[in-house]
Amino acid sequence: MRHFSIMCASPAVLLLCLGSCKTTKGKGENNELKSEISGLSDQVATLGTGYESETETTKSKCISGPVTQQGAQTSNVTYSQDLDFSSLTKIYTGGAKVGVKLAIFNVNGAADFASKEAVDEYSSSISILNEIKYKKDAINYPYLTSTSFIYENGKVLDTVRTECGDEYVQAVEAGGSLFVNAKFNFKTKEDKLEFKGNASVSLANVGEIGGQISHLSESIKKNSKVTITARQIGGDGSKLSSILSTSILTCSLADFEKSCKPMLENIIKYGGKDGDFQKGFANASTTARNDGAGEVRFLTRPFRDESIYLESADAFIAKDVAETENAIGEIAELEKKNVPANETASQKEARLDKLAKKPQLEEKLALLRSKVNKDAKKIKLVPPVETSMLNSNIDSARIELYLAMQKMVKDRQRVSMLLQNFDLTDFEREEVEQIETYIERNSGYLETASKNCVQFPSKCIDSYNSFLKNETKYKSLKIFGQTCLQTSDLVNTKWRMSRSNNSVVGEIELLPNGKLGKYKSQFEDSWKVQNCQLRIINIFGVHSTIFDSIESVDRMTGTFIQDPTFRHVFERIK
Amino acid sequence: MNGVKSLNAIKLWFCSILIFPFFSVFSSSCRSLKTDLSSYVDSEKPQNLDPEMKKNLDFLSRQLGSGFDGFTQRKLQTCMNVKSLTYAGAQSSTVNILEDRSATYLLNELGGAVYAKASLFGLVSGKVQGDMATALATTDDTSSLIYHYAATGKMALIEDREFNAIGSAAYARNDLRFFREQCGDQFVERVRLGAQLYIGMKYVFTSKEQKEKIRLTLKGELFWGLIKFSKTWSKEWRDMLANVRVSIEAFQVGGNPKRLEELKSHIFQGSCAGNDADRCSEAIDGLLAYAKDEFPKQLNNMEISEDSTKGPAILYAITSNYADRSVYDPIQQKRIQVSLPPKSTSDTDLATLLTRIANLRMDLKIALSRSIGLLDFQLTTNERSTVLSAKSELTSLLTSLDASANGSCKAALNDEEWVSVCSSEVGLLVADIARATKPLEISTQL
Repeated sequence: MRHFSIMCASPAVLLLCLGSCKTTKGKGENNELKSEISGLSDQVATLGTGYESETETTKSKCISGPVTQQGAQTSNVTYSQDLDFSSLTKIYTGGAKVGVKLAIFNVNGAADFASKEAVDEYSSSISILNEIKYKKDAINYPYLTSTSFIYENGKVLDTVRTECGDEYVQAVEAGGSLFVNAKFNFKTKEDKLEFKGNASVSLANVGEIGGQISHLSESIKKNSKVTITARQIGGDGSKLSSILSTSILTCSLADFEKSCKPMLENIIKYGGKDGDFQKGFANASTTARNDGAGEVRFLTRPFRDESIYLESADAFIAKDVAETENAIGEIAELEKKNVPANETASQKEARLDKLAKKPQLEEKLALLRSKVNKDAKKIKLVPPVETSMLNSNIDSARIELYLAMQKMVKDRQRVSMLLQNFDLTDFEREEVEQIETYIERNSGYLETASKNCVQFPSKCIDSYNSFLKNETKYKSLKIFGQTCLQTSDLVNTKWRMSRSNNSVVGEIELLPNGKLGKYKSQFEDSWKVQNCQLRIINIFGVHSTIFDSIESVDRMTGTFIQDPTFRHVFERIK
Repeated sequence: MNGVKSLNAIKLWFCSILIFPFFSVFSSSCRSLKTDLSSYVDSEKPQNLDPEMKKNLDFLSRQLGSGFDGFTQRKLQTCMNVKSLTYAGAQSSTVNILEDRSATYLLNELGGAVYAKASLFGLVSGKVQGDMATALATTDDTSSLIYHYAATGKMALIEDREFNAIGSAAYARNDLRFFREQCGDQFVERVRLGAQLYIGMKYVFTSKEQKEKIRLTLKGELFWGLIKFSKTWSKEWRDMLANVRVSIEAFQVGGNPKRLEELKSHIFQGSCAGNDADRCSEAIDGLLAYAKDEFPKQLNNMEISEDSTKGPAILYAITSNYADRSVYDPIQQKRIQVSLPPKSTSDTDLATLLTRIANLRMDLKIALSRSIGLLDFQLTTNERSTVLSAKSELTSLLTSLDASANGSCKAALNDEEWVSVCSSEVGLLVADIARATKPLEISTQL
């Protein structure tokens, strides 16, 4: 999982890797550094569109090419419990690995949705996700659409970065999904523990939820609430509204059986294997992918990793040559194989048909090769001198702004819940209302700073400092009853660090000088406490893990910034 | 190739947008890949504009290509030709309940900057969202629940950028300041299509204390379902809810909003007493049936329709800097780059001030709506007088704020010298607005 160590192993390239390895790139299937753009984002694009990874914006369409289909078509139903912020963000954005990037706030509603549906110490959730994925459309033989501002007299111009960015959209993944989440909100942490201890609920067995709930105490049933949310990507989304009738999307646990259960059953029937949701993708059993599917992910490829044809015809011929060679290769493999003893008549017919095509394909290949332009030119679409707009300070500022944005949406949600559901004293209510005002005031400054920090990297540090100057601090942690860590709580303590997939990283000691003792790596070098949270810092002085969830004095978990697909777990060694 | 659907190329456009979702059988003919070596052509090359498609284009071209001044946040004239149109991304829909949310939260819940982005361009979605938040925001002495259905379509964007006559002429002056005045430093490159429906139920209490008392008594019961089961209420509940007013509101973006207005004209639109909510219950049943049966049919599967009563609306617009995109100039017959660096916004600029005015205006409108709602209660003479006096002050403050917005603040859009005047005028009103918008405490307890 740790591509950083592979890509940035050499000290010479460490500094170059800083920006891209840490915050601005996702890790693709082929270990390539590339970005992913959500199909729900404001920055959606089309195949061949340029993309500037450092400012997370699309550019002109500089590339085109023959389109081929890649990968497999899949349909998958997953039942989950207690989804966290990053999982929900990914679901909302259609599966794009946006990670710790301010781009997530480009998908309208994503952060608010994830914040609203994510569980905390007062809530639990059960969910179902039905995902349909089609084969990707991809450009593997790219050519330049125009040479204006890009290429002149045999040279790539400095302006290429402004016009085309440093990557281009190489593949588009189509598909759709239906996500249903039932979130249980409790009045106290103890109520949640009782619920988790006595009720084993799942959307895989909706019919049994009522029975499970009936065992809970009357107090919990009366004071806890279920809220159902459904979100669909692709297909005929208007049907989602049609299944509602007069059912109810929110109820107390005491009313679950008569109020919320019918609604849940309706939605799950709609989203199940044979439901209307699936029917919205009329041709899901074939490779055609435009029958109701949306373009959910755009995958980019860096220009530095690939040469681009100057002429379109050269790209098309190269593609046909490669495909014809592959087809002939497959026939050659077939010829070598023994005929299976149990081959049916239809299988035999298909095999012989395939073999019979060989002469025709060889003839086509010869013709194609005769058309190949021996002088076909390919260029690397990078400026003569490639410089990065980013440095470690800008990366750090972006991470801090991302965390501040995430905290803002979470605090906003928490404040809203507190004001709705809890029996606050007048003093507490006033304090929470005051915090709500501060959050809204801060949000304007934060959004301006984040926007500037992404769009104008050179102004990022100033924008971040401006936010810090204008931000109104508030004692949210005290109000929210959360633990606020101090440095003195952690000095000289020992912890076992592992990953959420249960693999162990090592034993770590938090030394008084801010360094880590025992286990160390390029990701884990030093530590500090900031905003009540423990932060592990890498050898470049940039945060690598932020322990944003303190489950008890002996256990906390946090996002691993370099690869948000899993979390780090810290367990105290006594 | 799925991404590009040139409006000029009618066949390609129809294949990609209209036919694929329904009749995938056509997909192979639409997407046939050329195998004849002599026919290698760029399938994305624009062809002649089809008059029928022009009708669809009109729907979007009122926004796409418009100039925009990022500093003053002003929409300017259109300097781009919208010759072709591309659709990209995925459509999505969400159904949820928005419970007891403040106005600011409601607007954030809808997607953060959507309201602001829509409002800047005077889009109907911004107005509807603002009206909804004003009408259904929960305050200290009100409580509301909103059924929310939101659908977003694909993004419509311009890929083939070309100046129109205005843009070419502005650029030909060779004066970037003039160009900025005419066409701005940005242009609307993309718009998000979509539709939204809000059905809200609002409870108005006589005071914050009454609201808290009723909440504590009802415990886990939720107001949303409350009136649905009014026939099973105990006498204690009936007595307690007698002095609560219930009203139903509905708003729609996209589809045919006239149908919602027609429906509303046939259902009860006043406020019901909390212990006699049958008419409100019937109203909400009618609106939910509309959400289930009729509204989805108006959306045309999120595709633009030539029938103005069908299909999505523009939810919001996204701008790009001229400096970041080359543009084809028909006069020079070549692509050019307008080297016009955008002015970055700061936290003290006019844009922030304008947002502040919009927020203050919303606070005043919510308070005004609340004071009008209070007049539905059975009030003593003194209480009625207090409410009328508060209503009068709120109206007066709203007038003053609008005067500043249309006076010095409007002048500031053209002349930065006026920004400080606008700021100080608005600053003088802030304390009065904060005081006047605090909820009125009515002592009546029935």
